[in-house]
Amino acid sequence: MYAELHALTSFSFLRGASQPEELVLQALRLGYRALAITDECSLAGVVRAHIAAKQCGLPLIIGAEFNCVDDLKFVALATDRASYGALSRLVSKCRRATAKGSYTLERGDLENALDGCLIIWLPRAGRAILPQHDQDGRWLRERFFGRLWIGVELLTGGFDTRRLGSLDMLGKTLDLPRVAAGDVHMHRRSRRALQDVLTAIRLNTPLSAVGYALFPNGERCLRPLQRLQELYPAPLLAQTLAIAERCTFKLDELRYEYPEEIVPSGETATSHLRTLTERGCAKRWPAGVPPAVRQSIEHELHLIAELKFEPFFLTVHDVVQYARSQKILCQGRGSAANSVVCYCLEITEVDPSRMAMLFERFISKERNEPPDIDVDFEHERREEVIQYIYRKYGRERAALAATVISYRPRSALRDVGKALGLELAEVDRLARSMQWWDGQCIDPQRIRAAGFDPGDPKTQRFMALTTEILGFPRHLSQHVGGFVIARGRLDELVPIENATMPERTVIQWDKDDLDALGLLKVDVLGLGMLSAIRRAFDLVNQFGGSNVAPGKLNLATVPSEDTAVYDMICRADTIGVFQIESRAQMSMLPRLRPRSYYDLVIEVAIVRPGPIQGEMVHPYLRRRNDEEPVTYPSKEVEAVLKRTLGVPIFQEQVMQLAIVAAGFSPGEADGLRRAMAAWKRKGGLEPFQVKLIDGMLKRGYQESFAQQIFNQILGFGEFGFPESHAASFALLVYTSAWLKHHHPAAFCAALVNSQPMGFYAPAQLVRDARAHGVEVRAVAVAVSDWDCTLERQDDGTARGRGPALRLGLRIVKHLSQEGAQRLLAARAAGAFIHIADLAERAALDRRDLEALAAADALAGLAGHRHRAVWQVSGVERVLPLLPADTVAQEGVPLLRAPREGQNIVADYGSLGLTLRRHPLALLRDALGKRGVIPNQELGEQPNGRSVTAAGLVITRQRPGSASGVTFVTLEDETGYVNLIVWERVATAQRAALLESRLLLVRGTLQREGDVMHVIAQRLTNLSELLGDLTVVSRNFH
Amino acid sequence: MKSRARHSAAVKSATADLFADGHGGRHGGTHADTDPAEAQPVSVRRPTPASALAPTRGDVPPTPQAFPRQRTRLWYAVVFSELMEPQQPGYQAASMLQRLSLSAQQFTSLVSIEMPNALLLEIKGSVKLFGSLAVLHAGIDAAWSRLSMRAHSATAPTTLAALWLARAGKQGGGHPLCIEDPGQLAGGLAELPIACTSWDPERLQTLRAMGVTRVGELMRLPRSGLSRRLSPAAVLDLDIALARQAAPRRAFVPRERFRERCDFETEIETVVYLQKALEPLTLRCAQFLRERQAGVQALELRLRHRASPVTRVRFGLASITSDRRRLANVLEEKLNRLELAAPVRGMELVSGSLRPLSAASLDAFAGVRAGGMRAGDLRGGRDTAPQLVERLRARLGEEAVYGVRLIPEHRPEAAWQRVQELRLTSAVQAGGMRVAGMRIDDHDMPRPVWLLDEPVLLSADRQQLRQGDLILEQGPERIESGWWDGKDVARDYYVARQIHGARWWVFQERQTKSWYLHGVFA
Repeated sequence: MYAELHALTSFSFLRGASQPEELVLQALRLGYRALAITDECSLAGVVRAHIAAKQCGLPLIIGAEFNCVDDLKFVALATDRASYGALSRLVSKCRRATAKGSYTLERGDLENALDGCLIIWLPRAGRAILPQHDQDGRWLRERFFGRLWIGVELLTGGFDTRRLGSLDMLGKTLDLPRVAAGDVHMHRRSRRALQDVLTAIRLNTPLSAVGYALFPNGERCLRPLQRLQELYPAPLLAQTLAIAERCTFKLDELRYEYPEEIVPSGETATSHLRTLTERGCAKRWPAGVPPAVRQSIEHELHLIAELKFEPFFLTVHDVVQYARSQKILCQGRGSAANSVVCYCLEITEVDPSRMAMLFERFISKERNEPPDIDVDFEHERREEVIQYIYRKYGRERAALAATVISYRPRSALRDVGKALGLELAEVDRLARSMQWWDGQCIDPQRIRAAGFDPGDPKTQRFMALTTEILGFPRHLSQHVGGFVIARGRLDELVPIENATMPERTVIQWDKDDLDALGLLKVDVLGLGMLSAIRRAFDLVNQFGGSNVAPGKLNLATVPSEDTAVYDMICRADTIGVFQIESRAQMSMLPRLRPRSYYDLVIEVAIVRPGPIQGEMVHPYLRRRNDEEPVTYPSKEVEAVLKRTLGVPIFQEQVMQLAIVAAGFSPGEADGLRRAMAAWKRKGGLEPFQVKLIDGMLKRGYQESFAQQIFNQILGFGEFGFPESHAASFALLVYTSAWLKHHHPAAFCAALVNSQPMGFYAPAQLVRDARAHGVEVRAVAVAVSDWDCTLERQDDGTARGRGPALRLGLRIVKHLSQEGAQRLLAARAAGAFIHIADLAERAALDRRDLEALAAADALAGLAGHRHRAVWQVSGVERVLPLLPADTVAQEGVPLLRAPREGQNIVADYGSLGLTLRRHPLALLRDALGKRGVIPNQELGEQPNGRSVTAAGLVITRQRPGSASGVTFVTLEDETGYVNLIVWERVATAQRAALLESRLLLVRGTLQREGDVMHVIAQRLTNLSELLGDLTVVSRNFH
Repeated sequence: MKSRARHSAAVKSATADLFADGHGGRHGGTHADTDPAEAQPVSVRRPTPASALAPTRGDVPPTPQAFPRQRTRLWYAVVFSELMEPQQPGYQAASMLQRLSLSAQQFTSLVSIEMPNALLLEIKGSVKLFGSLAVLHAGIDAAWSRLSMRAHSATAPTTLAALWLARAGKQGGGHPLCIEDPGQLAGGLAELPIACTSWDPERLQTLRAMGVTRVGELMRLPRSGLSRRLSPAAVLDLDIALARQAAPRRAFVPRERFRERCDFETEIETVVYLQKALEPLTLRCAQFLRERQAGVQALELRLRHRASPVTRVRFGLASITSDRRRLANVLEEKLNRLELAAPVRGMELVSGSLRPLSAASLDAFAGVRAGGMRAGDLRGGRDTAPQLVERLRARLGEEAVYGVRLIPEHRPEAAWQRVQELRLTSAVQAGGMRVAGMRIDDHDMPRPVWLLDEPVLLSADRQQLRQGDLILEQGPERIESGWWDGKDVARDYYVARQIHGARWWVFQERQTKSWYLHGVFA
């Protein structure tokens, strides 16, 4: 009887007050025959609506609302694939023409646009019809006759009858049919308050001052059919159905087509892929391909050809080839990346002979899902790769996937509070008190603590609306690197808009949307460790001293399975090593004792929230240490779990278990995987639970086993780690560990030069390198480069002793890179005589000079740090008037040389690290009086002993998996101590925990094998002892 | 001994490069003639008695003044640390300081505010009065603790020295809190951390980076080099602190009001006599205001009786004024309506706080006069519009006459607001006919001229209403809005014709289905 043809979702940001799914379900509930989703110049919400509509069987129409710059307003609805393409193209055009987040549409843009779309014109009429309406109507009729309607929206504004009459008249004059519509902004009337709030946020005005910009009533909801019948004449309602019937387009019709140009003329995709694979084979196995590998290759190529995935592999190959040509280090991961074909195509360096078990799940034929390959590139050079893709395929054919930025507690509190006109300082205080570890919901305790009365109706409104707005999309951002490349015009598949970053364009759909429609994307990601590894390779290749032939060290030539490297890993001596440098990983290493590459794969995957929550870690450890027999409930399960000793650790294993033990089809297993990723946000695992447990009981498994598997699935949820990714990461783990062990100076320099990345700040990296015998030399304008460099030892022998590490100018805070470059150029022309000479020839401004003085990098020119600061602070103002050496002649006043403590403070302030004594060495007496034991000596204390420890707070970490535990690492001059702070202690002593730079802790020593923690009981902030020392903790969660 | 030689040159010429170092001051011993401050030529000038300079309360207006150059003075500085705390808004701190200044005036007439959180009191003259500096200092300190203010104080011969000492006192430390002898200044300040200067943090940071953390180290640095690196102003600060340079300060002037009383020899029982007696007060009040280029918007007349409590009569004016005739008229109107509770023995006229006579308020009169205020005819055409309003208010009550401001709001009752101050120009332009509820939007919905303060319940039953006297002519106009201030409405409005011909604005509440009358169309 009625189809709503004009409905906005939350993807008309800060306008629509209901999510697409809510609108679909409500339309179904009310008995609507169809629903059109018509967000303002956007198709961002249609995939979600499509999925919901498909599930519940409601016909969905895809459309968009447009507002012309000259006030012409209309809705366009897609009828078929071609008109959908036209609609998407117009949205792209309007969006691309202006800055991110907005669009502009002029009349001219409508010429030859929207072919095949149905148009509902929405004259902005008051009571009377104006000449303007007549003109607009004629203009539209010329272009869209036969598919143009006048939309009649009766919203109980007081003149509905008159409005109906005047639009009737207009229709008769122009000979245009009329149709009922609802200007829907919410699925239920009860969203009125939220809609008002959204309006206030959009206008950045408190509600009390928004005035007429608010809707006068809540009529813009999906209204019951009976009410619509009272409001509208029957023919207008009937007309909605006539329109709905003409709109037959479904998003399922979108089919992805791979780009063509990656295949040279005269070849087919199949033949070209084979040629490239064979070429790679010859390179990888110069002595001939082993028969087992040959068999795999044939199997894989056959499967790829059958599924017509060649263009995908060729596309990834092309991107990787480009990176190699630019000497950008890269490494693929993902299920398809661990194929022999990818190894031959040099997409991955993971040698299948090291990974014999992986290929059974490389591409699933049954599921017909697009293959999964992510490629990591050096993080600082990824942009070059991205721009290459844009260049090669053009902006119409390539774009990044979007990420929908949604309201989280903090932003929700801020925006809603502002809209309600609350005191800004109050709201800010509340929002700030929601520290980075408060999780997802809003805690009434916190509300009270921030000075709000939870009983006050004002506060209740505030809280209710904040909760309601949580999860609402706020704007589109770009996905970290998911590229969509199309054969034809991408903008006819999905609208493209500008991103905030210049030279970036994104599509309006996110990763889940693409997944749901089976569209393919290539993930071009940035990885800091690749930058560091490439730099370390360069340093080693340039400096020599490697057991690999000079210049030949790369990912493929790093000697494999080096026992000494594994020994180091087992000692948890892994600061700086990829992945296994975190607190949790370090405490696992001595227990897991990895001795082979595959052990590293497990190590990478096991210390994850998923396995930890699923309680798989301890069973695995027990079985590995022969403390528990390795058993399998059945042969089938053994096949799946054998490589992990009967404990499911990888995401793939869970899915396979569902197939072999519970009788899931591969498609269902994939549905389970998706549901797993989403259940925390949306729920919806229950049907799988029943099916899984029933299926396993039916196949004779015990209920406890079934329940355990299901719990593990829950644990995997958002955090499950696929084996295929772990395998690629493990290679980088091994490589970085190898570099750390054999080339500690180069490794440390590379890490510092690639900052920010990883878990540790330069202070810890440098301290660690020195602990491993690397001589580290201070920053000095006479010798330092921008980057950290290696220097030969003075005795020239260098045998037994590796090179020294010279800190680079890059670590000097506040020094501009341009200034540093000029300095280096000037130094190349001749050594500096004095500071004025340096300032003049390098044209350094006062800020750069002060930065250098503060870093003590001028010691060679000016004497001690205090003198250097005095000299440079006089430079700039002298230069224009007086000859350059005035400052030099000025004479240096009596300034005391800095004391050790002053120098340490200044070192931390300017460089973030010191090569002098650790600051705590100076405080040792003061700490001793408080009963503090140096960290190193803690190791000699017995388990369970009550101890007092102290140190600089270098990391705080609160993993989502660890049920409220915060891990803190303290550093003193002797080493590190790890604290475990239980939630109760953390809550009670929040300020000390979060604000301390120097933390004193009383607690109980806990030792488990080689792993030692202090369980914190009492925390004391001793930061005052440090004076001005700047210590920045790295916080993770 | 090169530095010693240059030091003495500094004392004599005040142009040398080196400051006296920390030992220099002490080296001078107690002899006044080697004291750097005493060496300044101006220091021989005879001090003016503090009382001659001090602002006095009452009628004689204290004028803001600069202190004369370089007299021997003693400054007590006090820093209120809580005024600096971040949750304290700046304006609150300022008014707090004003109040504290008032209470400080019991110790000296010369109080000066040092924003954002300190006061300076010149106490040389008061020392004798209190016996000794120690007693006086403690006495002032006690005043703050009586007011529950956390305060840090210090006394020194110069303003900056006293302030620096007081600020440094906040951090604790073993420096003296009282320096009486200017010769002790250099030594007394030497150990202070440089943060006590309150110079901008960047400048302090530069100094610290040079290893300079104490004022004494600062004094040792070459003067020209320091001036170039920090700023001449910083060097000047040092000079001021060490009494080498005068530092004029502005004294605190309490907020003014007009306040004058007169006592009657015999008790007055009739208003007429009161009015007569009031005339000179009104005149002097207007004069007082004129001298200050200021006006008032409120006055209070306090009538004292023998037994009964004081009668307070408040007068509001429609706009800020200093016009004697308007003041007199308002007083007259108000007194005419006053019933004396008891015979009056004396009275006092007190003004509200003084406001600047703004150009805008003058323009408003001009507009009215040019527009030819029709309503003024009530009194033979000699009233201006403000006078009319004041007269009406005096007769009908302050609340009865008000202005109306339109607010863009969907809820009719929230779409306008009463205001005390009348926007006369707009009222005149609109011919007095613009009425609450008129909206400026393209829909131009019907709104009645007369909106009831409270909707009146007509019927709780829809049927009954239809059969009754009302015919719904236009509508419904649905209004659902206002949840955010707790007064959510959900109503369907109609224009209805009443059987006697009147057009009513009625609504049905969506929840209860009851009918209400909300307004009447003219």
